[in-house]
Amino acid sequence: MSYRQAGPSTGHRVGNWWIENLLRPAMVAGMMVCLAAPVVRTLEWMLPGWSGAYLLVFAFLASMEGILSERVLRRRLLSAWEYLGSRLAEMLVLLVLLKVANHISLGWDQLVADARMWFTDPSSFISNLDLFTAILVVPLWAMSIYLGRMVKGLDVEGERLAPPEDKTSIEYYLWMTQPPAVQDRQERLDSLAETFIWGGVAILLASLMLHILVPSTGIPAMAILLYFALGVTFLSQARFTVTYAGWQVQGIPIQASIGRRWLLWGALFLVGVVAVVLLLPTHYTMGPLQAIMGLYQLLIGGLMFLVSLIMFLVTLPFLFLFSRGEPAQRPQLPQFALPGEEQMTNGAAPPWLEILVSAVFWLIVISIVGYALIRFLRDRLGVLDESEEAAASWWGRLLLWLRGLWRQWLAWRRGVETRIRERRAERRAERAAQVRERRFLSLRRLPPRELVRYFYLSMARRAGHVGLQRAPGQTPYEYRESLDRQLPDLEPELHGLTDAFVVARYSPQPLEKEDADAVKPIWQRIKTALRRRRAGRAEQSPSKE
Amino acid sequence: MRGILPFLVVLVAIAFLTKVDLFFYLVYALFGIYFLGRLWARRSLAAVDLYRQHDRRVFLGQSFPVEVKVANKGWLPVLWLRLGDTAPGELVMGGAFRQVISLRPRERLELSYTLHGRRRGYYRFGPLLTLGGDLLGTRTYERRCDEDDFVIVYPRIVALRELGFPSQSPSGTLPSQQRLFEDPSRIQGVREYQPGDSLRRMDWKTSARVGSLQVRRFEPSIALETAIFLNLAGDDYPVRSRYSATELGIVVAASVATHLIEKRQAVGLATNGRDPLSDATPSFPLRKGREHLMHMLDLLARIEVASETEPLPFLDLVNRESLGLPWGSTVVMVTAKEVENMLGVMLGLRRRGLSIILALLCPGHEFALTVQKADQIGVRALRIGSEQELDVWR
Repeated sequence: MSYRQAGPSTGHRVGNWWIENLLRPAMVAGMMVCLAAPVVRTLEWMLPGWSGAYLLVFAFLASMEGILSERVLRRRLLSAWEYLGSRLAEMLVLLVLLKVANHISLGWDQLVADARMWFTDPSSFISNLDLFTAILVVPLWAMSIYLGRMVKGLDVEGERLAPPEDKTSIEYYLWMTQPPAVQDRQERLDSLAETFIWGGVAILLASLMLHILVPSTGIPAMAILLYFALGVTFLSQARFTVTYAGWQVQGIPIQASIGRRWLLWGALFLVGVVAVVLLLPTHYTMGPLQAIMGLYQLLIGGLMFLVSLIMFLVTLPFLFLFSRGEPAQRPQLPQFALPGEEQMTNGAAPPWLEILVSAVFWLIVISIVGYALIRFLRDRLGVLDESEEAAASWWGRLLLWLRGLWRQWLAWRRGVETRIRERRAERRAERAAQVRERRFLSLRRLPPRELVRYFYLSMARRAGHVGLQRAPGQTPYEYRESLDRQLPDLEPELHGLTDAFVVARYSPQPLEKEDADAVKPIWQRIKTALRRRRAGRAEQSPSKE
Repeated sequence: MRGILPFLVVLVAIAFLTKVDLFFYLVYALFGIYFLGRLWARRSLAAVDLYRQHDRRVFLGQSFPVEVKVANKGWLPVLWLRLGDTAPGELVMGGAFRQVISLRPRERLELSYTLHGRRRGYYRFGPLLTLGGDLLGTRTYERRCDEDDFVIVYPRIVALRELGFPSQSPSGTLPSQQRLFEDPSRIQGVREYQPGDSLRRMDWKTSARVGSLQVRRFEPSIALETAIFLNLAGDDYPVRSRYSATELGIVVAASVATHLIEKRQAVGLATNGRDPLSDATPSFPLRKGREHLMHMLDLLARIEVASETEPLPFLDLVNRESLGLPWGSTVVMVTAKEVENMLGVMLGLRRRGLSIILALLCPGHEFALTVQKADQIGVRALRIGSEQELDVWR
């Protein structure tokens, strides 16, 4: 059969160890670094000669440390004061390490010179650079801890999600009374998504300000792209965890490979989207109305050109025919003037391309804004509901009318598709009938159902040649029994072929090509045995005579 | 991800203000992930084809597998798919079938679960439900695959050997080339034992006298056509034993019909129960063959006690449905107890040349009297209070 048995289902563990303990913390830390990038650029502008690359690495490591230490501290079940004390000590160590890291960029000589100053002037222990970098790193570190805690809350660990089988046991009672696993996770996930969006707003605004204030520094494009790429991947993974927990709570068996596939297909999808996005235009040379009118003219012009070309090709033989041997006057191919052609200058893109690019750009932007608006109105305000309230206002009626038009279009499209499908099926049936009528059958051309029928009828015909005719009114199973008695060696093959024939003849279920192919070797074995038997009978007949 | 769309609008505004390519790319990418993710989920779910395969007819107590075949006919993978089947609750043990899977492009999977024929009946399956969603969980899509699917759980069939029906038609109505059935109550003579003869037919006394093994020969005169009338009017049964008695009646009817069909005799069936698939009074004319038996068993599997609606009185049913029965046929009446005018109806049937067996399922204390009265008009009355009491026919 072409259907594959489903693989084993998983137990109660979600994902892999490295995804939970390394990949996700690394994603969060990476996002923190991206958030820090515009600020580091600003610092680089404020402190000429200072390079902040090490600070980004330090921020990444500090974030990782914050997330992983959070997991360790949670496992120890510390009291609030103990936790706070531990965190303060950790922060102090972090600041000392940050100071050391700051001096790496300044050089060891500077560190020694500064160290001498610390004894004479203790206030010089904290420099401006230390202050700025601490102001940047400490909030990022704290944010990482917060996010790490939320991420950890999504993981399934130590909880009993699937209900125990014995519904009278204490374990079942504890399972029943435990906090709602899915709801809590969903809230955490929503909160994470909001944090991601606000982080996106922050990085965009910071980059924008940097771009406006210091145009020479440019926008940290890589950091922004990385932030959103990491964020989307991270949210996708978090969504998987929450969904998975939901299935476990409901006690649904889950395919073992689903986690791996989610990660792989999610990554491929993101790569595909990015690849498509890179092909789309990001600039325009004309306004939306002008671009769309230009596109319209372009289309009309193109159509006119095509019609003229066809007319030209049609009339061309007549011109040669009626020229009576004289050299025919060469007909002129119609000229198609592109809109804006006169503006074309050397080195610039062709005008039609600019129109096309602008039109595509505006169509995409309008679609995005329109879609966002419709979804927003529907989700938040409910104005697109088919309620009386929505129909009361003129714009509500307009939207409903548009929706009606859209539905009509969908219904018409479905109708056309159905008619095409039916027509195709009719043609296939006609073709199959034609094939049946032919004397020499091409087995390759037969549909699976017809092929199985052919195998069975061929078997019955050959069996008839050796004196095992199928009696009128004999059912396939009765015929099989009579054949079994005469051909006991072929019993499994006869069973297989008869069963396949009954399915092909009477079952409404679809029959695949693979099913028919599986019957072929059975038929061939029966055919060989019947041929041998026929040959044996032929040999016996002359000897009797 | 509810905030993603307003964020996109803000991002579009920033992109137009700054005219930086990066922001446009970002808008496209985020919108693409949001919109194409939904489109992917919807299209991939629409391309999933699924149906179930199982035995449509099973016997009571039999467990049978239900195969759910899932095929992704599209070129897009299915990220996740939650499958659920709405199998009849009476047949399910340990929860309904549910499974979460993902499908590669063009992948086919075969899942299975087991149902148990725990109770006689005709059961319809509900739709196969599928639920899928996108990568970021912004939307889930549901699909129902409605399929006209059912399973019939046959009533218990008790193996019977001899029904001991009285003989009325010595020559029978069968064509001469067909095998005749013999009535063990009418001994025609003896003959030499032949290999294959049943030991039950041995005539030991004659064998001892003659000195060689002899077997009895019976008259070929058993009744060849039998009509079974089953009373399923709820009010005719005591409330306490209504369920068990009617179920037993169905078992009796099914067992007798099976036994007779296996003996290649013609059997008919009529009942005043309620057929959930039809409003007409369920009845089958006298027919032979396995196909006919299957139809009768199908009916006996799905038939229900008529208690809410006004059922046809049992004696009216017998009078109406026995009109076409040929002379010499046997009538098996399966009912709760003797009721008023029952003997009169049976007498009428006897006068029309029919043999009658009265099987009473809950006859009460007056059974002995009923037997006496029935005996007077040549009717054999039997009490069948449990399946064990079917031993009278074994």
